[in-house]
Amino acid sequence: MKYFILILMLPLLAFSQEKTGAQIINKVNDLMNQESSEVTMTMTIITSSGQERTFEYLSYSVNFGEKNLIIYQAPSRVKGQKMLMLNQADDIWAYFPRTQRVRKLATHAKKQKFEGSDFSNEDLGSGDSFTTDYNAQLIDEENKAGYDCYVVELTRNPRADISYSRLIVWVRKSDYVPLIIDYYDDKNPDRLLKTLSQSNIQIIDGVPTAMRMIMHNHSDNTSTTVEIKKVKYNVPLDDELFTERGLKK
Amino acid sequence: MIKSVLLLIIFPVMLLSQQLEIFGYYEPQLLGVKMGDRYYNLASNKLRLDMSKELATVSFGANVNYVSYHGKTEWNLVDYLPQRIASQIPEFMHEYFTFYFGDLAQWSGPIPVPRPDRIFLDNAYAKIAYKKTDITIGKQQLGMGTGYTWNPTDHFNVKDVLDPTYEQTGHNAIRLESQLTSSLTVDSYFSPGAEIEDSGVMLKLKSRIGHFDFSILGIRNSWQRTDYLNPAAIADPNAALSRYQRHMLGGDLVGELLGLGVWAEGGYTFIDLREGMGLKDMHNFWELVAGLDYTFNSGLYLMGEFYRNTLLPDHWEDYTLNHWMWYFSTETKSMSRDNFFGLINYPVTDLFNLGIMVIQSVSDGSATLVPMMTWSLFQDVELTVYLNMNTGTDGRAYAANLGNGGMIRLRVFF
Repeated sequence: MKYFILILMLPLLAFSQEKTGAQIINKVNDLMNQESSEVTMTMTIITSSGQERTFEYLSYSVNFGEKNLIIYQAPSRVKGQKMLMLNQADDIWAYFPRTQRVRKLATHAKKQKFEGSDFSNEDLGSGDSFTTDYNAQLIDEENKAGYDCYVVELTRNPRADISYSRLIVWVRKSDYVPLIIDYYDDKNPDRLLKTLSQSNIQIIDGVPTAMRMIMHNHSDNTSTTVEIKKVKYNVPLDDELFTERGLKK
Repeated sequence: MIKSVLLLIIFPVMLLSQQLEIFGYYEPQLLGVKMGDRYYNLASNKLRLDMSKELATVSFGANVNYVSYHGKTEWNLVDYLPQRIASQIPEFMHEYFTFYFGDLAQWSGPIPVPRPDRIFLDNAYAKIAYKKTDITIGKQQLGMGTGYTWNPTDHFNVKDVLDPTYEQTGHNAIRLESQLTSSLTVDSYFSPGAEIEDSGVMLKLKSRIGHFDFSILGIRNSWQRTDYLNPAAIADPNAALSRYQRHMLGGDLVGELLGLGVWAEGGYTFIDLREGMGLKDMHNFWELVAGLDYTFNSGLYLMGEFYRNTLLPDHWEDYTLNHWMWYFSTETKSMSRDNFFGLINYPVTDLFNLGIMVIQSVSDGSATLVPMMTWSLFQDVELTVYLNMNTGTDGRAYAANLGNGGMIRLRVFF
């Protein structure tokens, strides 16, 4: 009798050890949204005609990605401009130093390109969008770029106001770093728009961190590379920094 | 010995330059206007030099602008007035309507109407930051309000409708901004005038509800209006000046509704005559701005903004010389009571944007169309080009006989 029950339970035990898409994406989300962070990065845009534009940013984040502040350091054209994103980028304010004005932007501004790059504001500051705006499903497991990966499909929730109908994410099994993300068109879920590749993964303050990201836009044949120059996690940051008044400082 | 002296001179300069941040831009610009079969050019070169420095909780900021004008630097505004108004101005008075760009030392005619400076200190201020309060003292930006093209609550600046995001000149004031709670801020300024009655005072309370930021405010300041219809202005321009005490109660809000960005700004203004003859059409009035915008997934951006000012005429036949001159000299924000601003912008490539603006006087039906482009030529070099085409008939705010034109501007940042 005991033997019979064990046979019945074996498949259930095996199933419970398999991770679901939601569990994997929650792990990815936890990894990407640390309690706080301070990051210095450069962004290089390469246009279809081969022209390059390089920007330098300082980025602060607290409360597991709920509050984000981006300060433009270079080039001179944008130096001093700031962008504050609160409530997982549902509230956005932009500060322009020459006019010293703060302008609140509606969430549709998330769809605008970030300084003409292949990243949209939504790609950079959407916090826990993976877990709140999409439904996750594990669709495959495969070797990608030499690593064993989970392949998770994220399908947009019907009520979510986001620019992509679905995402396919290749998550490295060993540390849950998303190595590749495919972004699909808002209207046509079969049309691949952009691909993000993450590499040069280093352990910083105990957190596996992709120090290099390349976003390739398939329709424009342009690409944008982000290199992280310096990163610190779980640093004490004053809440005042993440206010409209803090933007003007 | 010489080396030591040189080092002594150079060292403080090096030390200072390491602490002082210097940046700015150089901006050559060409403005062209076609009137009838004549074509006029006004070119300018502008150098803006910004300096900033931070010492613990105190920061300093300043910038100096130098602008030189070339080409047609004298413009007679009579040429741009409607025929029915221009014909009433005697020939000998025309020179009083000259608008002169450039160095007044080179100007030998009678005192022209308000003119821009050639070299000026735009901002020069110190900002002291405490834990919950910032105090800014000096010449500083006092831009107010959520409107894109028109800001009724901004009593210091009038934006150029063809170029609403261009930076404004600073104003002398002491400003205090204090964060009372995480969602309540007090903003206030005192801008001193020659007399206490000429000074500007503002108190604003700002808060948030959901995704909306809103504020209520009270402003009191002095308002100077010129009566161009007064014959006394010929002998003594000051005799045609009236000074009013202006009190405004208003507010603004900005947020999101049904996925659209929405904003509004406005207030009611009470007018008291302080000195002068007073203008016959002056009365208390409402000003209101309301706008909305949206970005599509393709990057296509649409915006519309409406502006109403009940002090201004609702019909083009009621426009007087005063209305035209106030508009030309930026004493008012528009010609007519109801106005609309529309903008369509599309990022064609990563570095190239195309757009079109429509600026319409809803009151008189005239409009100007402004196709435009911005192009990031190099890392720190930006090119802006726009054309403007007026569509109205003579006497309207955007009459075709005001001329059609365009502007090419290059900005090199450093």
